[in-house]
Amino acid sequence: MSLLEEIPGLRAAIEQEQFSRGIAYAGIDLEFGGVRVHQFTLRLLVRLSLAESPFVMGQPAQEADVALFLWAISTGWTQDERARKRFLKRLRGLNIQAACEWIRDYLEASFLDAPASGKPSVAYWSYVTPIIHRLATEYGWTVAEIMDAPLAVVFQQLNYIAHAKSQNAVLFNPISDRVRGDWLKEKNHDAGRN
Amino acid sequence: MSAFKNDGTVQYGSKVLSIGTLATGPVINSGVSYVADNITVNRPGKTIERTNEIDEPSGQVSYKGFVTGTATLQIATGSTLIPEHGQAFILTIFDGDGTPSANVIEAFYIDSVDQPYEKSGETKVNITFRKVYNLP
Repeated sequence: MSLLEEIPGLRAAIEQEQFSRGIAYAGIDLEFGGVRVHQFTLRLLVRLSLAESPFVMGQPAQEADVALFLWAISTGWTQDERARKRFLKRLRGLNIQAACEWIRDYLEASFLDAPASGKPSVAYWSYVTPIIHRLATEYGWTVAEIMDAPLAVVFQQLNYIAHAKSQNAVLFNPISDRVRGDWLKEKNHDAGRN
Repeated sequence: MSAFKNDGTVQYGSKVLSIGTLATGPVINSGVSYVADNITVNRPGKTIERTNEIDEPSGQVSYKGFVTGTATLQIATGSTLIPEHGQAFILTIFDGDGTPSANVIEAFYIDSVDQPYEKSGETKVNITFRKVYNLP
């Protein structure tokens, strides 16, 4: 019996993963509440980190944070202050709870294939530096190309580079691995082995 | 040991493995379940070559070598039960000796366990294993 037959929900989880991964390469913008937004990129991550957006700092968000996040990822973003004010005015009446949920899903999909944690090490550079180094070395991409590529593409390419360099690289499928892990937990629990 | 016709490395994909203590049967006692990805069983061979007086091939004989393998194990969500050296599991697989559809049951023991990796609450670890030739 294959794992797909043995583990309930595994097939659907794998399909969801593959769909999410495919979107990253489709070259399309996304949309929420009438706002057209870019797929999340390293540049957007840096911009929002520097602005201490609670969505990327893992903190609770307020209404103003939602609007500023959507402005930062919108295709209409510029450094022009008047454009920002016009945009924020347009967002009045936005369902904040729905927006928060959408932003969390948006970030979750972007970080789906983020590398797993191994040994922590001391960093003497930005978290962006090793990513640029790896992709520039392997593919010859420029800094600008890497910074503006969808993060979900960046992470998938990094995973593929790891796989190509070592067949023993440990990789994850976060959605379907959770289904498998929960199934194993139940199976071991039933056998008294947890 | 008998000579064989063919050798190779065969990928077995993903399976659920029960890993524990090997007992007569063979069976696994106190087994904990893991999902094993990228199971690779290596069946190398050794060949003795014979040549004539001007070093032309005149004969050869090939023997099976030690069967070893690698896999990546996923551990149950929230569990800390990383498998240990010496623990065993049973694989029901097709023999690599060229015999078509020969369903073989083999026992293996773990001989190395790498550093575990964790992401979003799920843990995976690479292992290497060797075939058990003297079953209990």
